[in-house]
Parts: sequence; structure tokens; C-alpha cells
Amino acid sequence: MTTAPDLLRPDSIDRAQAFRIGRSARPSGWLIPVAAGLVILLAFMPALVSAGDTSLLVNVFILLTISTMWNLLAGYAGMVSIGQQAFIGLGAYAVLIGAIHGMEPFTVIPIAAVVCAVIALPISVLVFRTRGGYFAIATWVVASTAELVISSITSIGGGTGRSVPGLASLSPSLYGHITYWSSLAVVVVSLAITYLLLRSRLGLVLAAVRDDEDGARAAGARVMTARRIVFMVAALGCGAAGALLAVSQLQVQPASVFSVQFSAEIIFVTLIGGMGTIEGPIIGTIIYFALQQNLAQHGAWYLIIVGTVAVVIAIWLPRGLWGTATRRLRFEFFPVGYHVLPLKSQKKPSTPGAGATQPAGASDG
Amino acid sequence: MTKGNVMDQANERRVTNRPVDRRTMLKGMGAGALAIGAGQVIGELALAKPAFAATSSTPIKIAYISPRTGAFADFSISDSYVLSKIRSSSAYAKGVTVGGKHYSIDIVTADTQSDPNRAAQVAQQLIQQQNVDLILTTSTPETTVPVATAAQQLKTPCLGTVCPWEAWYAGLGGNPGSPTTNFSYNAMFFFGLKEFAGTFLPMWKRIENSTHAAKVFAGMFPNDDDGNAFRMGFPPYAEAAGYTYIDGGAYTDGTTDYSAMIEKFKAGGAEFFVNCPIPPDFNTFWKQAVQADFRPKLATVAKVMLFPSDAVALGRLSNNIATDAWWTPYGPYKSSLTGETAAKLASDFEHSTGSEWVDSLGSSYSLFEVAIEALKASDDPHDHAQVANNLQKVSYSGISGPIDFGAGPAPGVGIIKPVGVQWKPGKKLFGKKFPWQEFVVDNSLNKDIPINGDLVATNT
Repeated sequence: MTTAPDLLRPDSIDRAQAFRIGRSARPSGWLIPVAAGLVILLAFMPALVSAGDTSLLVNVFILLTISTMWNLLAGYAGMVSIGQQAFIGLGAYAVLIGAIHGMEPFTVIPIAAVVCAVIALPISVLVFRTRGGYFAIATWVVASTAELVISSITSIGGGTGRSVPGLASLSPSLYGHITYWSSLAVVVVSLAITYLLLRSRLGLVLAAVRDDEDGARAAGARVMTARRIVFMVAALGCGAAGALLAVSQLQVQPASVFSVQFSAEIIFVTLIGGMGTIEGPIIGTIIYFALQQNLAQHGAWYLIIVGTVAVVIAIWLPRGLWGTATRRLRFEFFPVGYHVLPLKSQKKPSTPGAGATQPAGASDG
Repeated sequence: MTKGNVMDQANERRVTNRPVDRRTMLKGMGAGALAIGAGQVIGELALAKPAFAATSSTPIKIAYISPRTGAFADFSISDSYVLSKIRSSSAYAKGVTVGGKHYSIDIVTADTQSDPNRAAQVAQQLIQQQNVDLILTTSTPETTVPVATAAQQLKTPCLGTVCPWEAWYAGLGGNPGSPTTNFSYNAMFFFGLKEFAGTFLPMWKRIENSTHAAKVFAGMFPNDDDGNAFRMGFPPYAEAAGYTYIDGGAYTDGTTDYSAMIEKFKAGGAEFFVNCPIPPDFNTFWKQAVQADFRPKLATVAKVMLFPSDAVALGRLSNNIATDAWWTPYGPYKSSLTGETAAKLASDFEHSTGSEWVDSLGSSYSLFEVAIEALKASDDPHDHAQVANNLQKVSYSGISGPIDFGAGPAPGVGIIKPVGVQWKPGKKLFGKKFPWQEFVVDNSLNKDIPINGDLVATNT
């Protein structure tokens, strides 16, 4: 991308003298080795912590994957879905069906993800006819329909569900390790896809669509295509997460894998972390699990506290924790937007507003 | 779209949208920190456990997993009371001697939030993080099946209850039709479709004799774990006894309109009614049935009307609905831990909580009795394979009566014998009179429990 000012507009020439356009206010090249180091550290986790901790991390990664995908849909593409459990459930059932037919359950995970992305294509044709709140309800209807269809097929257990065969021969530790590495791979790939997608031309189109759809259309952005790609990517990620759920719980039951509870968890972690930032779901997921680990044994009190946290953050920090922090720090771990930045050579400009950075990816909605 | 536009938009927003100022943000952060801090304090207070006598051996850790919150919370209404009773019994307070060595016992509890996903997660964590030696779990296949599945994979002994054994066995991957597979780390005690039929059919027979009702019955079985087990298992018993079956169809849990099903039952002339829905669905169904004038002579329900709260919710419509009771305070049974009678357990519960006794008092209590039996039969309480093996061999008599895990219909299944009960306006039992109460009206399967009420047609 060039930073050339629009020469037809005198005021923009003016500004171009004071600003440049960049990804980040601070250099962030060092983040790549840090991220790589973190992933390597996480890969060695089974050797460092107990099996219980890695099994907890599996659940953390599953929730992080699905909320990253939801964030991509709602936070970047403006499609608030409450039906992502459709793809979680279908991913889980893909593993079950593969395992029943003698496939190794772990090798079915990528296949399950692709299957979900393919199924998402015709579904997108249906649900894209609706907008906003209607879109949310339509996706929920899709999820319920998927559940009803699956639970009427008796060969895969009907409403009772089935246990996933083919893993009984693995020792508990080997089973735990493979589950952990699979989930780590899924979450890293999901975050990488999201990051690269948003930094691509498509990311720019999405930002434009979310801010002003008509404007974006008028400017020639292919709105439908962009949305469809995002919808399919989200299905891919949720399908992989559902597949992980099946191998980590070994029990697939329609009422539980298609549970709308997933949407509640996704929305909670994304909102408290910060919608429309890649970091948001990561922070939200960490907070959610910290609360769960410390308080879950208190039954109703735990739920009351979780609800209170959500209310407090929604009222006082509507941008979520990271969304608020990033505006103060002018820093992102995953710089995906473009920022209007002061020129490097210049000291802090004196005009009000001149020093402000507004992430192009930040949503006001 | 050009870069200039982005810049303009960005700057415009900066002007029109005042960002959250520092003071507001600090206030929000403070409130958040306060909420988290308060939670931690509450957490630590509640975590404080009574100190156990110091022993040289590693304590035995037993997990108790139940749905304390959510849709099945009614099943766990007696949990706190049972746990306090258990913790004060000598075996659990002072510890047990296993293989000549003394061990203290540590009980950890976990809530499934009535969510099968959460049930699997807490079971895995208790096994892998807390290294529990034995898992006890209760109430509905949605709780016991995911927990048992995790225990089987992670090779930890697990004992379940309050779930038809067929649903439990099928959930683990077995075939209840030919129950040959042994899920070696799992055991459970409850009963199955044979006992449901053995409780319900004698009541139908008596009503049929007194009212000359037609031998036609309606079945309302949802498409879920319990429902599919009932659809497979119940009608054959009733049909063998000469009853004609009208199937309401495999509906989905949460259905709100039952008019088509009710019309089908009416058209078929059903005089008896059997079901196993989730509690809110029965509430909806029964009200619609009354409105549509479907009035079976006798309703024998399963999975619902188990707790006083269900009867209170239906009010006078719950009068003379029959169900099964897996435990009552009326039996001659005694705790194998303390020698306390069933009646004492129930009356203490009513006095200490002010609530009416519930069936789950006995089943939850018995989980801990069986655990001690299995542990005492072992050489090493931390040897999971050995404890699990002993769990499947326990034969003892406790607060739920005699249970023999070796003699059940499937490996590791112990059968308790239910009785038929009907909900009727309450009488004074242990001091306080409650609006609705279960009266034992049929004891065909278990003569130990005395009859204390008359079997009356649900609708005349």
C-alpha cells in the first residue's frame, strides 16, 4: 500500500505532511519471534505441567478457536451470529461418523473442518438474505435445524448420541498428549488465518463494509464475496473446534454439541476481551477460565459473578478490556488495521487530534 | 476506496466520538477488580475444609459430581445435606483402614451446570489435576454418561446412580440388548426398563380392574438418551401384558405444542399414559392434555414428578399422578456407615433444611456407602484397576436396601427395587406438613416398603 495523499483534495495534502499511514504506532517486528517462541513453549507443555492442566488447556483452545471465529464474523464482518454451534456440532459429528467407519479420530479433524466450510457455502446463500437481528436468529434456526436433522438419524445414535470409538487402545497419557497437540495446532492455525485474512485486501474490504456497507459497495468492494469467505472460514474453525470437542470428550450427543450455550460463552469472552480485536477473545478466554477455575465450585454464585463481570464490562468498558487498553497504549499484538500516525521525524504535533491514532479496525457499533 | 477516505473517516470519528476518559475507565477497572477480588475471597472461604487427622499415607480422594445448577438442579437439592452427613460419619471423618494401612478421605465436589460438556470437563480435570481415586456421580444420563466415559478413558473407578441402566450402558458404547461388554472402570446402581414396567404395570392392572379401562396405553418418549431407552425397552413389556401401544412419536426436548400428540392419544382411546420427558415439557404437556380433555385413567410418569417442586408447579393437576420412587423413608433400611435409619435421614433432612424429603437423599448417600465397601475390599486405595474391579463386586445392604453389583443385568450394574407412588395432598410426616407428598401405593417389586396410600385413578 502506498501512502500517497489524494492530490485532488487539498486538505489531504495538508495532512499528508503531518501524517503517515502505517500498521502500528510502535515497531512490532519483534513480535513474530516472540509468538513463535510462545507456540514452541506451548508445544512442550505436556512435559512441563500435569495432564490435568493440558486437558484444561484443550478446553481453553477450543473456546479460543470458536470465539476467534465469531469475532471474525461479528467484530470484523459485522455478522452477529448466534448459530456457530451448528458448525461445532457438525464438526463433532464428522469425527464420530469417520470413527464409526474405522478412521483414526484425530486424522478426521482437518477433514471435519473442511466439511463444515463446504456446508457453510449453501447455508450462507440462505442466511445472507437477512440482516442484523434477523441474521442472528436465522443462524440460530440453522443450528437448531442441524441438531434436529442429526438427532433423527438413528445410525449415529439419534438423540441419544454415541461414544467415539477407536481411542480405547491409546494409553491415557498418549491420548492426552495427542489431544493437546491437536488443539494447539487448531488454535494456532485459526489465529494465523484470522491475522493473515485481516491483513489482506479482504480485511480492508471488511472494515469498509462494517463501517458503511453502502459506501463500500459504491466504492466497488465485493461485499457478498467478502462476507461469504469470512462465513466459510468461521465454519472451518468452528468445525475444527467441534471435532476437537468430540475427541476430547469421547461422547457426542446432539443436545450438547449443538448447545446454544456455546454462543453464550463465545459472546461473553469476546465482549469482555474486546470485539473487533484479535487479542480480545484471547484475553476474554483467559479471564473466563480464570473465573471458572476459581469459582465454579460455588454453583449459582459462580454464574452470578460471571454475569456481573459481563454487565460491568458492557456498561463501563463497552470496547472490552483489550479494546480499551489498545486505544490507550497505541499498541496491538496483531496489527491488522491501518492507522493515521504522526511522521517519524516529527515530535508530538501540537494540534489536538493530530496525535490521536484511530485503529481503522475499531468499531463504534 | 482511497486512503484519503480512511483518513477522513478516522479523523471525523476522533472528533465526534469522545473516547472513554481516564476517570471513567479507572472506575470501570476498579469495579471489575472489586468483583474479581470479592469472588476470590468467597472462593477461599468456601474452599476451607475441615482439617483431617494427620496420617502418613496419601489421603484417598473421592470426587462427587452432580448437577447443582441448571435444568437438573432439583436432583441435587439434598446434596449439601448428604455431604455434611457423610463427612460427619466415622469412616469419612476419621478415615478407613485399607490393606492394613490407615487413610484419611478427602471429598471434592463439582457442579456440571446440567451441561454434558461441562460434566466431561470437570471429570477430566478431577482425574488429571486432582488425581482423584474414585468418582461418584448422580442424576440423569446427561451427567452420568459423560463422566463415566471420561473415567473409562482415563482409567479411574467411577460409580453412578439415578439413570436407567440401559441409558448409561448405551451411552458408554454398549448394547443393552446383549450386555456383554464390561466397562471395567465403571459401575452403577439403579434400575432399568424391566423394573419400570414391573412398577407401572401392576398399577395399570389394578386401575383396569376397578374402572374397566381399555387396555390401551399412550407413550410420550422424547428423542433423547432416556426417551430412546424407554421407546426401545418399555412397550415390549406392556404389549406382552396385553396392552396396545400408541406412540406419540420421537419429539424434541423443549417442544411447546403437544396438540397433535394429544389428539393421537385421544383418537386411539388411550386409558393409560407413560412418559419420560424433561420436567418442563411434562408441565406443558399435562396442562395441554387437560385443556384438550385427554384424561387417562392412570398416568405413570418417569423422570418427572420426582420432586415436590414438580408437584407444586402443577398444583392440583398433580393429584394422583403416579411415578416410581427409588428411595423412600419408609423402608427398614439402615446406613452401612452409621446404622442410622432411612426415616431418621429423611426427618433430619426436613428439620435441618425445612424442605420435604426427596428420593435422591438415599441414592446420593448410598454412593458413599458403596465407595467404602469397594475401598475396604482393596489392598491399595490408589490402585485404580483394583478398586474398580472391587466396585463391580460389591454386595452389601445400606440405606437403599440390598445391592449386589455382581448379579445385575449387565457387568457392573446393581439393581435397586423401586416402588410405585402417587402424589397426593401432604400429611404431617416428620413434623411439618407439605402441600404435596409421595404416598406408596404399590410395592409389587419391593415388599420391604409398606404401602401407605390408596391407588386412585388419576382421572375418573
